[in-house]
Amino acid sequence: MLKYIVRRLLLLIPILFGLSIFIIVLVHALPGDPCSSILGEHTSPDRLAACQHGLGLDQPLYVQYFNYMNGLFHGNLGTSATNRVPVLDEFLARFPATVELSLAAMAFAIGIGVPLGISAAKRQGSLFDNVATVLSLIGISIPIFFLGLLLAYVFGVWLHWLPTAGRYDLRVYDFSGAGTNFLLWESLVINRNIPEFLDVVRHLILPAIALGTIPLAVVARITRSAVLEVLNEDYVRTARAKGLTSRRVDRRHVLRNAMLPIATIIGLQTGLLLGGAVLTETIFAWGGVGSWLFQAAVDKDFIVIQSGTLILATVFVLVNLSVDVSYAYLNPRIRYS
Amino acid sequence: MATNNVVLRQVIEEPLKGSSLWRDAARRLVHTPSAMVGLFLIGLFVFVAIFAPIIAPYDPTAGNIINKFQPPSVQHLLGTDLQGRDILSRIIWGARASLWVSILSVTLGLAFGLITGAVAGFFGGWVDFWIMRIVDVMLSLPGLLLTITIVVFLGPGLNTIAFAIAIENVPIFARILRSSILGLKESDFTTAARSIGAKESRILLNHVMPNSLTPVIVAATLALATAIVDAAGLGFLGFGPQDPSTPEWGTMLTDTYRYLTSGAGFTALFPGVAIILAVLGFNLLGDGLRESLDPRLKR
Repeated sequence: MLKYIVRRLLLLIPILFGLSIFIIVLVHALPGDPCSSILGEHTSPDRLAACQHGLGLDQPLYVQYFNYMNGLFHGNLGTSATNRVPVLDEFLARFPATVELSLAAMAFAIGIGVPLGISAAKRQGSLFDNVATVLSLIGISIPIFFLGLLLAYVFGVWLHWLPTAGRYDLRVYDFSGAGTNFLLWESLVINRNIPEFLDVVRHLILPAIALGTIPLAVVARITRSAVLEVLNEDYVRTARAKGLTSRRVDRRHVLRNAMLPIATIIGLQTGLLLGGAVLTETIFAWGGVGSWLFQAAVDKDFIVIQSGTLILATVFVLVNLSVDVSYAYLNPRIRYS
Repeated sequence: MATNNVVLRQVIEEPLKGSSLWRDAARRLVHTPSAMVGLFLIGLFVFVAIFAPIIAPYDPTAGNIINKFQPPSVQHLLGTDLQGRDILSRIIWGARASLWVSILSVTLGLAFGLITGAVAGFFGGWVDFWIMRIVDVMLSLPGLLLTITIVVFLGPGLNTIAFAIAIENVPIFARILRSSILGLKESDFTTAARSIGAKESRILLNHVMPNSLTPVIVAATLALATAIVDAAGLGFLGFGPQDPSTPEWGTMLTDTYRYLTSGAGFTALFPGVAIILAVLGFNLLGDGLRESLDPRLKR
């Protein structure tokens, strides 16, 4: 098992190498650079050249690439050209917000999607099954920013039930001195302040539903088809025939075996969410990784785009690796060597 | 004996008569209700886009700011927007932008993706190895972020949005076509065709290509849906057509978002309903095609 994990981690290196070359060639092949964004359109050629020289953008591409990789090997992910903040610091400050939002969204997606898929499969062809199928198709078809807008309109503007922006009430609470940016953890465990915790939860609900709806629909569809497949297996019939309660058959025989594709899709979706939810974060003013990299793209901030992409690709691969490792526990027939 | 022969001949000949891959698939598709609903929605979407000048009750760019944010009425079925323009007319004209971006992006993505995938699948060896490594790298990039970066650098507009979405699609199509070609190259019916002396080119064109294209067709249909959502998302973020009077669904929702708390009526959310219907159409058809194009699921 350990050997397998180490081998997978080693495989990450060529992917990151390829990715670094791809992304640096891409951003340099496209027109524009951070200097034109920093200085604005109406600047003198001298100032533009000075700025490019200062950022090392006047050097040949391979020199820039070498310098960048050299920095990476020394643990230096570079510094933003627009606000001079080290990329790693900014990432570490924002990533907890993205993690909290992604986990909440996945909890919503799994908590509803898996039971929905199971019930639909067990009543295959029934009205419930058809309604669930149609709903999950609509869930896949709904643009995330539109759903966010709809939720903000209904629960924020009409009903005034839930806040629609930020991670907590800035007028009441202050998290500026918090050690981590995991506000659920900070408020509940460190500060032990229940009203504060509830405020953080209330701010989390709408963005989590908006972000979690597509994964919910995907999880429900996969669960349904996985359970349907297992329900027709001989061992399920055997389990029923030997008189086990249907509850026990469901838990020990059906779900256990259907879990593999479900775990795969859950891992994939979590990886995608951790990649930053640009649109959700924009609508709900959520200071996570997505809105940060979006701003970097708008500013044409080369270093942030490069390093940010590399970090996210690493996270994505690591999440998928942990899913693969979990297979061994879910299905004893799978042995990694 | 004679009657037996007739029966036997019927049994042998009947499935041969008119049972080409495509005709079979079309027959199965027609009997899938969800696919037909999808086809209807797509038909409606294309119809509205083409005949927008005739259907739309008002000029989508003309409006009087005095009439801003009017609720639905007989004159304006879906009310008016920030600048007093008829929302229904703008949604109808907006279908053109979405249809254009989705078709352009999927066509471009298909063209490059199919060439790359076919080259990798046919030639194999180190060509295949390196193409697939590039594909791996592209697929490990966070999707929307790559699209946004390309659009930012190339400048906003419908065509750059389509181009950026196409680049995102290339590795997907390439990988699908390659894997199905690889599977079919070694399949029994290819061997059978080869053993009766068919030429390689004939095997490729008549046997391998039609069969390997079916998963691509399904993926392309679903890609049209994704393209509409992505294009609207980019429009929402402000990368849509730079002439603000050009109606585009995502861009229309930006105004709704900005004035959510200060006057925008609920009908300002309707461009989102249009997006859902168009996307749902392609998703339903894609699902139906997946089932009807798979010969193993023959009924």
